[in-house]
Amino acid sequence: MPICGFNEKMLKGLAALTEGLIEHGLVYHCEKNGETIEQGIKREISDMARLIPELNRIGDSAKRILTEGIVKYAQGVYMLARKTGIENYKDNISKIMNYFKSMDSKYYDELEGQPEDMKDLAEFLNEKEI
Amino acid sequence: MPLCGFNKEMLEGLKKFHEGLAEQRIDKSSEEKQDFLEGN
Repeated sequence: MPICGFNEKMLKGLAALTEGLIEHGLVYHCEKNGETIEQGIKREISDMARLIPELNRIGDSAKRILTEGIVKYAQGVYMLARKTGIENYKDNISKIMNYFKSMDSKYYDELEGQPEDMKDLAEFLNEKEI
Repeated sequence: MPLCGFNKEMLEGLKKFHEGLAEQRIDKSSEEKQDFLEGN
């Protein structure tokens, strides 16, 4: 694990998903609904927070975890956009990808096989800026 | 939300991520098998 070593295809795929979440999910819908970006971000984050507890109704664990994962990923992207401002979103995407790359490098280059590998990895990620 | 209406780019991105994950896993399994066969 830690994502089995992110390859280029995975990073490009995630970057495209993230770009779509901002450009289509946020900007396009805000324009369409006559909302400001701040209002849109607030609404999206609030909708996601309402959805996540309801996902326990999905009995199939793989399907539930897939759904929770993508909703939480989108929520994280919008929280970051709220923190840094929408105008920096391309920069944010690179930073998210670098964050994931650093997660893999730390694990595979240093921590794999160590007794406290996952604890050390989580502490490393806690210190790592996006 | 519900993912703000997935557009084509988002779906393509997820597909690429998924394929990359599977390919990476296959590559890694081959490496592990090779290591095992070589006694590493």
